[in-house]
Amino acid sequence: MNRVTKPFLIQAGTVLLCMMIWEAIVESRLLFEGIVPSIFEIMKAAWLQISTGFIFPHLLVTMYEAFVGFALAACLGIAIGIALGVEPFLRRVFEPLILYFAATPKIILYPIFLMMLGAKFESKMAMAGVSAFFPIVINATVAAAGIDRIFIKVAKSVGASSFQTFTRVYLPSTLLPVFTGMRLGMGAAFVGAILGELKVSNAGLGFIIIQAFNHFRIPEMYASILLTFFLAASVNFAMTLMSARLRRFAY
Amino acid sequence: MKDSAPILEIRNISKEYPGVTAIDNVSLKVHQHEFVSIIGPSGCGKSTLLEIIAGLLAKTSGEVFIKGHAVKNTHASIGIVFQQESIFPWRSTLENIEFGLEMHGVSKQERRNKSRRMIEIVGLQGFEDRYPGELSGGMKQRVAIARALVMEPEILLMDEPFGALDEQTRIILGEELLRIQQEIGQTILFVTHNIHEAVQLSDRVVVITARPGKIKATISVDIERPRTSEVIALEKFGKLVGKIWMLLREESLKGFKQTAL
Repeated sequence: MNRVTKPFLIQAGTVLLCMMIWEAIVESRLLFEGIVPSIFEIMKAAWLQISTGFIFPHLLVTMYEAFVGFALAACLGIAIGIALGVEPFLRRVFEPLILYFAATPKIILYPIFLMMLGAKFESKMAMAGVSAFFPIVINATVAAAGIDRIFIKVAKSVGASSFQTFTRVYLPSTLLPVFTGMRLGMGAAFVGAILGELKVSNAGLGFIIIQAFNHFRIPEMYASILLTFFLAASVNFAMTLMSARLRRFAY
Repeated sequence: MKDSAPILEIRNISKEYPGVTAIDNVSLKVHQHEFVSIIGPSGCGKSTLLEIIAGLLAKTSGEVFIKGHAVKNTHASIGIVFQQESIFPWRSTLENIEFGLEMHGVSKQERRNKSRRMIEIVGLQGFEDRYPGELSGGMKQRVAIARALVMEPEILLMDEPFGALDEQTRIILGEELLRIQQEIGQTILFVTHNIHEAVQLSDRVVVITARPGKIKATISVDIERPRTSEVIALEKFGKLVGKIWMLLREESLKGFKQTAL
């Protein structure tokens, strides 16, 4: 058995074991009777959501909100993060503020977003954006502050402009840690968007989960949760693949 | 004394930090095709001096002239190679060497041509597309040297470029440097704490005192060029090493006491 298949088999086995325990609880009717459906019922509901095409508009809405919020957060977060990393004075002033705000649950801002941006996509994008911003800006700051000074000296010695130093030295040398921040930020963007949908919305994965809950359509609720999980997992997986390609430059 | 204007002239350079004088009134001339080494005990400010000449560090007083023109800040006619690993890990050998040309907006074709020629000169053929992670310490320094030389600087400053390498690699790379210098007639100002290296490479060795660094003596190395590392076996070589050590010994002891404080 080689190094790749063995961990994979153990992973698959673990998932299978969990599913069996789940089924055993359902079948035994000892715990959570009536509120934990059988895995087969959940699969059936999930298949129905997919085959009827019901899930797709909601999926798209959530992805749209999360991606737009994430993109805005990434642009701002990387630019601000590197600026703070480069300039010790700016870092001294703003880093504490950012760290305090990062530790605050962003959902407290949601009523403000709802009032300012309405109950549709925009308020969820804002939620996704503020959620994604902090892991991105914090990682970019740390990465830029920790850059090897010798690289800056080299750039200076050949007469590189500040802009060139930013694009040719700071960006590539902080690529990996910045990308790690972006991965965390992407996860946070989905949390933000779906949290917003769960509270006030008329579309999106969070919306159909809370709808199913409100109408006590339990298998449907689990199916939507499962599909949301798969979406988040596959986005993260895609970003993992991307970072593996970036690792070519790792040092 | 040569008649032609020196490539590099520094006049009365001083550098003071609060409470400490690092460099005290150093003046020096380096002529075309010359190889001059600066040697001194650790902490004597020799690297500081080099960074001041390169325009990377502000000086307290004094002036730097390139071919008679006063220069401030960094200057295209001054190349520098550092002791630490300084080549960019995210760029291949070729891309690293092209860096300076790229910053100056040189066309891609010209960049490639110049860099490929430089790769031949420093002997990195076959490693053009390798990344620094795949290169040995000696090869990385060759890349750093090529990256500086490709800019065709009037003078190349080298700050203990082989300091992090083992003794044998250091001697071989020194020999390579002699060959390269011969080939393109490069003027070089070299900082080292290694007496053998200074004698193997230089036309003149400038001995710097312990802090505050000032010039203690200048020794001419009258060993014929072209040289290889075989000069190490010459009687003259041993005598020069001995002579420089006698000058350095006192300073090293002083420097040792300073750092022990």
